[in-house]
Amino acid sequence: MRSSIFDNSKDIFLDTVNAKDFVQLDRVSTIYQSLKDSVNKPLKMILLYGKPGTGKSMFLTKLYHDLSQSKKVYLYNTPILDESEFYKTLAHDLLDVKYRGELNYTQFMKIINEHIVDENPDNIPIILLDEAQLYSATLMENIRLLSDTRKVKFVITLHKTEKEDLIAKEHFQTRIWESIELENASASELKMYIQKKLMKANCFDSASMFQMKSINLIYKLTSGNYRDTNKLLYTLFEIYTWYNENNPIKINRSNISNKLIEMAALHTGLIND
Amino acid sequence: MINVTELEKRWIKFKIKSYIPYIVIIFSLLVILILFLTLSFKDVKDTKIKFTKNDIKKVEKTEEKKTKTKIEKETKTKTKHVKPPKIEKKLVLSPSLNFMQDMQNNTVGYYENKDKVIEKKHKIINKNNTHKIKEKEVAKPLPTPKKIKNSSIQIDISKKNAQEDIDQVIKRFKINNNPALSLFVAKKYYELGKYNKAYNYALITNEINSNIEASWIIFTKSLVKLNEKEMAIKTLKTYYKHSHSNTAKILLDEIKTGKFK
Repeated sequence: MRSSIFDNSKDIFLDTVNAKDFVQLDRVSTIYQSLKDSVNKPLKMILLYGKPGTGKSMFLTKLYHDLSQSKKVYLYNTPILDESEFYKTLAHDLLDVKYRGELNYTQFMKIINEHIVDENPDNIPIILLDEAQLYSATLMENIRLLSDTRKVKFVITLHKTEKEDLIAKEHFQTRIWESIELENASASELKMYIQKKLMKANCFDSASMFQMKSINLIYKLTSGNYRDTNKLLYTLFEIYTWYNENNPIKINRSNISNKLIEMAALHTGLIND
Repeated sequence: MINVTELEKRWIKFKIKSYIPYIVIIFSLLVILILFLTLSFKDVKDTKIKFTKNDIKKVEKTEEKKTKTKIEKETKTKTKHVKPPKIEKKLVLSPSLNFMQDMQNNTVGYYENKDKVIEKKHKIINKNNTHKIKEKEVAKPLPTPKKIKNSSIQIDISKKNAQEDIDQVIKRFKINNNPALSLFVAKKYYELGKYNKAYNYALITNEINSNIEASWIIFTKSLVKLNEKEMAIKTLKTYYKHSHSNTAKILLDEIKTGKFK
């Protein structure tokens, strides 16, 4: 059975972090370029922060994807919460050192000093840590000390909450760090995001169905959050697929129905009945 | 897989829920509007009823009481005056309260002094008389006191009659509140030289009907007689501007030139 345009469109909005799915929007591109520039600067640590769903993980993945060919970049999407395990993983990945038993900060520093002799900033390994708010305060402090040695460079992402704001502020005050804040999209950016994403996958018909009226409703429901938008549109195209198969007369193919958007929002929990 | 049929039902519920606040607002606005309209309609009705009732009462009882109290106050204090009418669109006489207070003080003083003077005069006369009598007992025959007594009695009788007439008219005025009667009283008081009372009754007449020219004239004339020439001119000027009356103009000129004192 040949899949419909709605079925194809649905898959585009699956909530996955893939560098290929990165959508180039004006503001996003500017932020990304500044992040890339910051990585080349002799900074010890770069902080990437924002609300959940603003694209931090996507930024980090894209950065890893772009830099991995020219630099030593190591991406950790899932936080390694055990301190010994964290040092052992870094020792293995960065220096190819396999350590048996417990590894503490002092021992790890020794290994670092022994193995990393090259002072050239281009050869400094870059460690990308996602969801850094999950790391303990002690481990975060050790990561900071580790970056102070200038033997490794860290790019960390944080969820923007009151507590994490405080952490960020403290670090700002004491260290010369670069910090980049990611925000939700505006209504026009959201339109560009949806249409570019659909057109990238050759779903031109469904891309043309999104008028400003329906975009405004989506923006109202998601506040421009990329993750919520993806979830909503995935469900929306799932509903379209159902109607297309069971009751095709009921759907308008020229415009996205606000009723169906609201139904999708109800299903995803963005609104409550 | 999404249960779209169930989702559609949820959506209908959601839509109904989302319209509820608007429905409530519209409904409450309608209720407020209806209440407002009914209340305002009631108010209009009530005021109409009150107005007619008041009119009847005015004619029958309440106005009588009002005028009674007014006159009682007037007689008690002699110079206590009626509430001044306002000159807005309708031109009505308005006395200065300060002036009235001054007048009160002056008149009281005047009467007190007069009494004292009279007493003194009496004493002097008595003293003189006794001397004279003593002297005249011997030298000259007594002057005819009977004649003098008779003449004074005659004057008293005429005054009483005039006062009785005025009292009767006042009684009638209390019953029907007719401005012609109050004007008559004002005129009579003016003739008798009771300018304060003339002033008050002219004012009462003017309050009832501000278009009666005679009330303005008596009022102004009384003011002149009460040594309030400037106020009289000012009042008459205001009336002349409004009415262009020849009588008012003539009187105004007379007051200005000093012909009328």
